[in-house]
Amino acid sequence: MSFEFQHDNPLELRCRPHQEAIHRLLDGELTEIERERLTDHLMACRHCSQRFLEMRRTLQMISHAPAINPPADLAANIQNAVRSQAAISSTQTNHHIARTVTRPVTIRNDGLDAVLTVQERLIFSLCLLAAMLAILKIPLFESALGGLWSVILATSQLMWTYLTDIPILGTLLQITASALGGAFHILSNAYSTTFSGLTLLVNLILDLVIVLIIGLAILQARRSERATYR
Amino acid sequence: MEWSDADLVQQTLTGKITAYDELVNRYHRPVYQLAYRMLDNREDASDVTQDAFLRAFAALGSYRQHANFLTWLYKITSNVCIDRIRARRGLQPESLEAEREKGFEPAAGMESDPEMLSIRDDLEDAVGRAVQSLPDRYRVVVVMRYLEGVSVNEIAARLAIPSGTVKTLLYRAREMLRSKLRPLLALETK
Ligand SMILES: [Zn+2]
Repeated sequence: MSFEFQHDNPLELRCRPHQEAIHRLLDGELTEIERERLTDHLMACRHCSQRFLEMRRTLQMISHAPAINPPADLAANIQNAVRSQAAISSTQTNHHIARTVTRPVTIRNDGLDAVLTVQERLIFSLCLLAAMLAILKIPLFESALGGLWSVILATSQLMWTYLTDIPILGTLLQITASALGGAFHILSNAYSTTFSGLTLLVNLILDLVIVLIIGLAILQARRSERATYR
Repeated sequence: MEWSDADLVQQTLTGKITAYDELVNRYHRPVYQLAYRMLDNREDASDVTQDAFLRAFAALGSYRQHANFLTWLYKITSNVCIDRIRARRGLQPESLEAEREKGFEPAAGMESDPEMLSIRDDLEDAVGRAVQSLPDRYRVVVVMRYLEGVSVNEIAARLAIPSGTVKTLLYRAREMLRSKLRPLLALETK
């Protein structure tokens, strides 16, 4: 590692862990004890304390990087573009001859798509898939009460899609609905006499598939839990 | 009187387009700033700024009032930027994975840039240039973290990578920036 820190003193081995701690301190991630340990070291080690000061100042500089002026006509251009987009979408909703209007190339997506990450899109697709399966199997395989589970499940999927800003709430809703509905479902189908063994088996497999899909969606949601709306 | 952002959004939704003009006037500068820092190109930055405002306009119905409007706009903007940088192949999964394996080892080429010494009269520009000089994947996380003010977890979610990888990228990026800005830091203390 001869290339590193050309301008620093050769990095002492005992300083190594403190280098990482400096970063974590600046990220506000240190525990009380780690903090004390680092402070002790910084007071004793000139090399590390200088590094800490440099790093802190660097971050200050970056956060307050000078403003770059946009082109003078940018705001006006955007406002014009928005007007033509608004005109197009109102033409389309009025069922006028939308075909003759070419959309500006800059609009690649509209609606929710614009604010969703790939992962979020995946979650929604999974939810919708589960909802569709749950609804489709009602007339085929469900007793009256068992159908209720499917309906609750489907509703919660759609609600989740709607409550996209709050994935944690959505997840809770999911779990509650699945647990409540699941109990209903097992009870009602067990006491139902209208269904043959084969139908019950197919039903069970479909339920498993739905639960698997929901599990996948929850897993994805947990990975993509967003901090913006904390 | 001064309308709040939420008022202006509401008015736009009822069809008063001049209300959206006001939002454009208010925020095209910071949005442009973010796009420019991400993409390191003025033309692309103008393009993305317009794109972001159009997307926001189209998605205005899904904007939740409890979120800060600029935060929401920033999110749309950085997503558009990430898409563009992905298209330039700056955020390949392999390069990110390699990043993780290198862990907290300092990167090669982190020594300070002698060129930076010659621009003592333009200290501010040097800061911008230091950020711009980072490879795409580092610049994106630095801009999101320190200009947009987004948390590590949020960055991880937007880039669909583990937050450990984001931390590593940030660690290495900060070390690079410190090295690049060292001559300036030394000047400051003299
Ligand atoms: Zn030390």
